[in-house]
Amino acid sequence: MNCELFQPIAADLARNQGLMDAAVRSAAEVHVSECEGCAQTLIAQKDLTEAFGNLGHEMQDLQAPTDVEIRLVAAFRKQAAVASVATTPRRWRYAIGAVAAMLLAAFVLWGFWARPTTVTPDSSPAPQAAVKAPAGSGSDVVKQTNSGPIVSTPDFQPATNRNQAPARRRHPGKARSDSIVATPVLAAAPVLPTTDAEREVATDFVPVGYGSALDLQDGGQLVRVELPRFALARFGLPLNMDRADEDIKADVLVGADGLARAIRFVK
Amino acid sequence: MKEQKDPSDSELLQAMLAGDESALATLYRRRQGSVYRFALQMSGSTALAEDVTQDVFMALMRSGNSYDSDRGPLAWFLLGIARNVLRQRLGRERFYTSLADDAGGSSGASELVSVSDPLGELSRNETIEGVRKAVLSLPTRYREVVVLCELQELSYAEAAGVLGCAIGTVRSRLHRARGLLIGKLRPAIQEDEAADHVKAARCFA
Repeated sequence: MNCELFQPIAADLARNQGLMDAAVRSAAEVHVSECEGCAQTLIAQKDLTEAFGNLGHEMQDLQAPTDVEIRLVAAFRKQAAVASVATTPRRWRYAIGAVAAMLLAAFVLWGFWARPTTVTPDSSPAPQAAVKAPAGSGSDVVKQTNSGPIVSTPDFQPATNRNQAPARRRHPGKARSDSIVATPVLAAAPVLPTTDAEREVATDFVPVGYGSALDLQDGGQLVRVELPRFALARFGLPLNMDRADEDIKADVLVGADGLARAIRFVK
Repeated sequence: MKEQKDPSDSELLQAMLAGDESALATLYRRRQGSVYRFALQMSGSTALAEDVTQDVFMALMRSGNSYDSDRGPLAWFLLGIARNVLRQRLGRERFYTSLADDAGGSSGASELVSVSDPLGELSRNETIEGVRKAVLSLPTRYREVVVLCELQELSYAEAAGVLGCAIGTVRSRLHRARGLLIGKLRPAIQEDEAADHVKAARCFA
């Protein structure tokens, strides 16, 4: 080994890092023993290593002041608080949006369910005391059946010219409904005998929604519709599950605003 | 009885990121020393070292998710952040401590090095301040490897992990840094030797 080869490894030799090949180390030691300049270099490197060791040892126990930890913990708490504040309104926003969407969907479904698809104006008076329609407003009674004939119910006074009243489809585009099955009204259908109508048994009117059936100052209409039988369960009425697939007749009391106010089921 | 195992740095980090304040405290107490000493040895300023230590752990709180345990221990990650913060701070503040500026001071290297065998006396306690200032006078890229390999006693591989460079780069930079340090200390020794002659002449006068 010569001086040129020794200089690059002098630091490693002084640091005694153990990275050096044993043969190289022994060659370097032989060279140091023969070259006074390289021996001085090695001594200087060893002294420097020792000085580094002393400096490192002296600073070994140095720690950051406790203020730093206090400030960090305070910052951590503040960050956590900010994060919670930032996330809470977002959560509320989602909740409010979800509730609004549910209300909107419920309102739309209720509107579809409450509005009959076919109504026929009738000049007969309001059926019961529940409907206080003004004179001439024309509380209507429409009976819709699968067979199509218009029948009068025992609660209503049949109109004399009912069979001449033209059938009018008020909302032809809204004929679809999974809860209401409306059938076309046959305007020329004959009026059934009173004896058949008297055989019908109806429940009391059950309010629909939050509106009262008594607030019909502007008049109203009674609409006969057919519903799936399981609709009875919605109003807390007993349901025969064996006949759940069948339809059942119902009279829906519709206000002037087109919203259903009450319903009764007819057997 | 089963011995309770201390949580690893990664586990503490995850807990801290999940909002566990005690995990932050534990992790800080475990790792703040090396970060603080690295910053202090790099800058020579306790105030700056405090700020850097705080900035490092603040950065860990903000972006601790970017730590990848496959790339090395968390200690390396923290030292890497400290290095970047220091570079920014030193670049802004031009925080340099020149060995020449302090050569005539009471704690200068020249005064701490013996005349006959200057480097042989470096091991004495009085030389520590001189060596510290000599280290501070090094360019940053050399100072980093000296601080990491010599003062923090990391291996070449560990220092390379912190610095994000090859082991050979660390080795060559350290060799160069040591040569610079020896070169910086020798002129000071010669000046000190000359000053001693002047003092002696005055005494005889």
